[in-house]
Amino acid sequence: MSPLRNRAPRSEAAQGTSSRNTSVRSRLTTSPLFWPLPPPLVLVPAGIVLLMTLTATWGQLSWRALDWVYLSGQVGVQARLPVVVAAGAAALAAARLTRPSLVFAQSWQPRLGRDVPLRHVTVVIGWCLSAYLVGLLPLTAAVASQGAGTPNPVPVLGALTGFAALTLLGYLCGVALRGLIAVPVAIGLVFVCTSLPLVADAWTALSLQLPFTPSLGMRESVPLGLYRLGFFLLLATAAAWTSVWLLRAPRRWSAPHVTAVVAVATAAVLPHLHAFPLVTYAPVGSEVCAEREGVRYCVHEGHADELALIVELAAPVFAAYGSSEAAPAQVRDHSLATGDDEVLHGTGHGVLWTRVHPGWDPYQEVPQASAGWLVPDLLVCGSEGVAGTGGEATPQERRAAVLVGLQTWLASRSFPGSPGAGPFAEAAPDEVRDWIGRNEDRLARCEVEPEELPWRP
Amino acid sequence: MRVTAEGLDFGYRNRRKVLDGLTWTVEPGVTGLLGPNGAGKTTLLSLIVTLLPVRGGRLLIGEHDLSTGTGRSRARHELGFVPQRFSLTGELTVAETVAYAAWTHGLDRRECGEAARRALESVDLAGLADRRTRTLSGGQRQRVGIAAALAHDPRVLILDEPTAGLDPGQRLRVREVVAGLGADRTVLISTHLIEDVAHLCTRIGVLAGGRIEFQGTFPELEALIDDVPGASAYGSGFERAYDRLIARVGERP
Repeated sequence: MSPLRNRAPRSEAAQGTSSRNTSVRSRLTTSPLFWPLPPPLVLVPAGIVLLMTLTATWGQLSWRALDWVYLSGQVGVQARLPVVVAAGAAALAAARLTRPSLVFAQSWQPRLGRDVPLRHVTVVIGWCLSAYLVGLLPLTAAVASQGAGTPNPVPVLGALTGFAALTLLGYLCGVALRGLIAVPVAIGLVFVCTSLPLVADAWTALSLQLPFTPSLGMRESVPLGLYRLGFFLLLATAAAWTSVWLLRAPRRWSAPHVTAVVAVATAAVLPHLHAFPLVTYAPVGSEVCAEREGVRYCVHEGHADELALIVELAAPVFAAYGSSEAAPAQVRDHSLATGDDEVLHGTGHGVLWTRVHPGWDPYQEVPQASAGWLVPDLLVCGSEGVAGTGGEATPQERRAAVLVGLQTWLASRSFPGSPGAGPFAEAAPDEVRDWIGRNEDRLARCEVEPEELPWRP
Repeated sequence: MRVTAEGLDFGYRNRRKVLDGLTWTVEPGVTGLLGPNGAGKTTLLSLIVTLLPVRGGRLLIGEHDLSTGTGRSRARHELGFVPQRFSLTGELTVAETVAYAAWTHGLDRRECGEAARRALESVDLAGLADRRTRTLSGGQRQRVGIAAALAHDPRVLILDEPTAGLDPGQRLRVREVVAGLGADRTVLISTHLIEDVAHLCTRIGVLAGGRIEFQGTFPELEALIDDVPGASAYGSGFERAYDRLIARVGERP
């Protein structure tokens, strides 16, 4: 026997603390909230997600006309950047903790083939998704305080499933690349995935959000929402399965795994062959109406708080124009519409459709829409939409300037005391009303020259 | 728990057989696996720890047949393995590393802290439990690796070149740790350092040409030189016997 065997080992306790037997227990974090990840690996990205979400939604808390349909869509919209952070965090966890050279990440180890990746992504998704939902709470509270409409569960489920699926995609990048390069790759890949609907509508079925957010009276198309939900479920399954496959030894393809991967590829192609409608009209709820000076104003019951202001802002514009026949018979909230035809042909039926939507500015939009109803479209002038009174302006552009001036002046009638601007700035309201009465037909044909305006110096 | 190979064959694609009808039984205690470079030591270890599939012959960990999925799955819980080269992640402390390893080996999360404590004590590293692994010396890292492989209290422990690359002092410390591990488990050490085997192992197997050419104790191997004509006068009796054995395998047609 070697004499070396009898030599007593020099204890490493000399290098450690005096409480060596308790130090393992005292510092080791085995909380199920983090296990087996080091807490900073999830707390930092979760904190970033929370901050991003709060920052992005903070400005909306004071918005008018918030509703549940809008919030349902926002769950996907606001996830666009947080999910990139979550995917990066998942890639980092995979890259740092599943490298096969690590003593605890050898592919034969019993938990590596399934439990390790599933636990990693559960912790990362759990923290990041929770942080995201907490970040949405203030906006949810703001919507709840206004209480219009009802939540739309399909887009919410699709967005949350998409959040999980894209985070899993980030984890897959980490497992596949096994190095820090996986982090920027995952971030880039998921960012591209979330940005695709901005490129073409066909990608909407494969992404978190619509190109726009529907609000009260509309909703995301149910086939589109279900397709997206199914796609993300498939993507999550395939990404998880592939991660497990990459970590397992020996690697063997299984029929369900191959099927899931092929199904994801197929599902990614189909929306390009068959376009889904993005939104549908869903005028659920009754209308609330008021009448003033022969015009009937109606809004969705969820927008009842907006009705008085709409009347207050629109009625002076119609009154300033003078001709009761020119005013619409009805001003209706777009949330009451039942289809595109109804809106497109609103003019023919004497209906002015106005879009009351979250974050709208009635002080800007109602006077403009009301004045726009009364004044002919600039296209009749033949100036291709250009208006001007300068030395180089064409006669068509000069006549168009009269219409623009009139529209601006009419819109300013919503605000008593406003002097207005442009060629009608100095005009007295009664004088303009009389002048309109005399020149209504010529205005409709865009025949009035700026020099003809009687109040011009 | 025994490790038993019966007629074990293995070859990588389009290449000659690395293992050719290997038959060997590794008994409880510390056993050394010797062999020249390219003899198939790492392949044999990879088969034992189920990194490679068994394609020909039988390989058993206790009663678990590694050619079946169930056998592999059950055997993995009985195995601990320290590869020749492994890394540690800087994000974790020594204790977290070992606890994590205990978990990946199948222990319940709640048991991992205590398992890590026990394993670190067994390799005399309890005092460094809270240190980040990036601050450790080579010998300490090697012992962390051994602790990680021990954390789930495996009945079979495989060490691939456990002292390779260590300076003499660190090598000594690792040997002292390993020496105590064979009392209640089967320990198989693959090494090309005869000195390691001489100090640590009660039995040895010599792998050459895809087969176990010798299995037995040191005295039995040393006895071989008595009937080997022209054996070198240099080196220990064990080394001379080993060299001659390898040379004899190399002379085969």
